[in-house]
Amino acid sequence: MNRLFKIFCLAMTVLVALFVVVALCNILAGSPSETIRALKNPAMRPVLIVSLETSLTAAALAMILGTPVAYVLARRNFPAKAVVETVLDLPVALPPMVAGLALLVLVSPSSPFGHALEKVGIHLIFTKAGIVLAQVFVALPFYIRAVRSAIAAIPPSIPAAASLLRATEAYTFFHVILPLSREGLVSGFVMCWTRALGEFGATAMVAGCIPGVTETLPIAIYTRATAGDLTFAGAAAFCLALVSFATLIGLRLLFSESDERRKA
Amino acid sequence: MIRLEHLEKRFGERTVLRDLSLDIPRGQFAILFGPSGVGKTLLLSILAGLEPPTAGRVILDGRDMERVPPERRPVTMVFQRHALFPHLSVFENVAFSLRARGFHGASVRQRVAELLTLTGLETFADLRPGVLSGGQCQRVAFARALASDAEIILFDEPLNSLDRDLRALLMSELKRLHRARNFTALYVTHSVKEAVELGDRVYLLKDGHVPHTCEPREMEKHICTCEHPAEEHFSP
Repeated sequence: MNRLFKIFCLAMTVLVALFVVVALCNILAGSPSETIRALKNPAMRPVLIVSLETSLTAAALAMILGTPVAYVLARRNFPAKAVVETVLDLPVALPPMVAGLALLVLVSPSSPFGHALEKVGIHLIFTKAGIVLAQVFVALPFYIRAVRSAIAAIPPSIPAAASLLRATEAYTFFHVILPLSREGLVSGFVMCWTRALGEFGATAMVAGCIPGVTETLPIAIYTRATAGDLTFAGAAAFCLALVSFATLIGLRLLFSESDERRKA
Repeated sequence: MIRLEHLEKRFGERTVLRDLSLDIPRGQFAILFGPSGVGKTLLLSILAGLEPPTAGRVILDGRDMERVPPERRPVTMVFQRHALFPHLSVFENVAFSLRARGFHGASVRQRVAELLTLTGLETFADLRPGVLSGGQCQRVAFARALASDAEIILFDEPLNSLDRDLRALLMSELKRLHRARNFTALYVTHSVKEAVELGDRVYLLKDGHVPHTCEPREMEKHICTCEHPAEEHFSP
């Protein structure tokens, strides 16, 4: 029985790994030379630039907005904290299309908020700024979760010691909390960035698909594949998969190095 | 000096400290003695401002500490598990309080060098706490506390995790530092040996208040009246 169980577990591991590899191998719809040609296609450049610009901006914004939020959630107790945490986590559970629709209604000129934004010259519908908004909305919870866990893992005696050494809360935050949460900040930024890079539903709802302006990699995959250009779609998908793969490897290396440092 | 007036701390229905009053004069090395779980560390946290009392007053150097945050109190603390900053070198750990108060450059270097010499840590200045022994870490914690220029230093069983020889060595170093700097110390312990070696006066914490204070050499008499065995480390 025990032996059978071991064989079953091993077989399932091999099967699942094979399934992932075979599925990923089919990303490339064309031959390698066709894929390289598609990657060199002048239409691919603006797609890559828009994707990188918007996703990196979204990750940077998430870092600025999410770090204080993660700090408050990790270090403070306040009434209705569980409700606040659930609300902040909601975009993870929400279907992206629903999130996109909510954002579209919020920033459309017919809503009071959207009207106020238009008045001060901020246009979010069908613009890169709209893409960033959608990406921040969807990816921010991933950043907050990672950083919150990192901050919560710092023993309470460390910030207490800092305050008893005359450091203000702000000084402790910048000189103790942030350096000690460095791994969480890095992994949060990377997870947030990859989530933003792969964002499709909410982005499509808010920013649509204007080639060269709001066409990101996931949108390009969808529009080109539905138009029958599988080679271009495959090349765009290859770019996304490459980023995901490099991110996973990078994070693994980062954490295995820090684990070894800790053991030493 | 430290003055506590009718201090009380409750957690829901459970009262841990009740009607606790005491006076510790300036410069005294006071021992807060009692078994585990009696509220010794909690009392230090209240003094430090890390935990608010349910009732009563904390008066430090003549000032009522109600609503005074930890960083503005004339108090610092040496923790049982050191609580050193693992990302900073020994030098930067000791310099932390000086930099937090806006000191820079040569004044910091000079002050830290003096404290590292005083605690015998000159050769460890560039090392991180992760590579130091328990005794060395505790020395860094002493130096760091002295750098804060606090009038009052609270010690939360700082020698508890160390072996007997190292404890004896650090006790004599602590006595030397106290003589050199003349700070007011409140030292929490459940070790009779530490209390007798270090203390000017012993405050016995029992049932949430301090029923007895005594000279360290009279301790055994009071511990007997408290029905505790007078061994080196007594258990509740």
